[in-house]
Amino acid sequence: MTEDNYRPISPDLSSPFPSNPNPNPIPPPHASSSPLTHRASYDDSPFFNAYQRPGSGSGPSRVPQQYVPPFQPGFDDMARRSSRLLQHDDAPAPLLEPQLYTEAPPVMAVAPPMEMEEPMPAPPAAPIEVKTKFPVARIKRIMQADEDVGKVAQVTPIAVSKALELFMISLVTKAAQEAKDRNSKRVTASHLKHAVAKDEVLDFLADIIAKVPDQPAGRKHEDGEGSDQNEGRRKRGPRKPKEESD
Amino acid sequence: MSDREFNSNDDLSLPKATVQKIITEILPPSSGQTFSKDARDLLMECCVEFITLISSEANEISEKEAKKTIACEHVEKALKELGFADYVPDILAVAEDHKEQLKSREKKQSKMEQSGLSEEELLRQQQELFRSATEKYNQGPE
Repeated sequence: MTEDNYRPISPDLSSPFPSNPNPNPIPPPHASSSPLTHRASYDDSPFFNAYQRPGSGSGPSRVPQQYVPPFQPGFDDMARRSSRLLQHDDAPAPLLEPQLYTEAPPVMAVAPPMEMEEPMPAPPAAPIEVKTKFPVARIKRIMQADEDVGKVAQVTPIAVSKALELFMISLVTKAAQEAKDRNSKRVTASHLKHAVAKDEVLDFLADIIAKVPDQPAGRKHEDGEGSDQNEGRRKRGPRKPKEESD
Repeated sequence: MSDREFNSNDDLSLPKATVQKIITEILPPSSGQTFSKDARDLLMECCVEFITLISSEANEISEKEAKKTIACEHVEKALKELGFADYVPDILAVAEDHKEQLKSREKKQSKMEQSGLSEEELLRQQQELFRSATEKYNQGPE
């Protein structure tokens, strides 16, 4: 609000007439070009300042900004790359494929994996860090499908979708553990059922898991093995719809 | 049967592709484990149930506080109430991120209001900006 007034103004001693220094409150151009806060921190990144080429004389600091990828594609690229990494776990060093942009390091610096549960050599392959996001609009619709639920604040579906993400991680991990305990490489509905049944907090799922037979019927058992994988890959096609936060 | 995607309440479930993608992120092929289709479908049902649970609990809490809108704090309380307290820090972080984004937007707006210019003047400036932008666009970046 009044920050501009606090800007240090050197006392004007040069003339007896008080001249207005005109603090010029025009916001920096990038602030209006993108509402994403990441963008701002991106520009503020020390890498940019440090990365001034010697010898490019006039206005060099602008140059790198022009061909740096805008925030969004950079992220998407990371996600794609990391999912590729996940598929080929034996791939040695993390990425750094032929760099189109020499400023790739700042991209990494902006998006560090938030939590590392296990020490892993490849940073983008941080264990359980889901990059895919749920469509917030859909979450909101599901929330409001309950007719008792009235208005919902803007943040709420975002918060719920984060909760859902954590919930899913916990379910999938538990079901996978259950499968592992039974020496199965394939996590089935019945594994998920057992995992859910073990946990008191998950009592609210009792009705849903009650439908699942304990022994999976042979019907789906065999044919799924290969096709499941393929399906995962095939369905990757439709990228997540770009989610606006409003 | 589970592969029919076009049943009537399809839009009240989660998008399959997204769910599958997330599963693959949690259980990458390198883990040696695969997640079967029926498990995925069950997981999706569980997820929808989870959303319903959280929102109805949050709704109750908000009603108790005589609020008409479910806010983040209600979700937070609902999670604690239902035994998902360990999700709370992450949720708050996400909500905070969102607020930051909104703030930066609002700041911009209030700067406009404080510019001390009349609405007509602002409109005129806007039109001018539009025009220059159109010109720039028409020139096109080569």
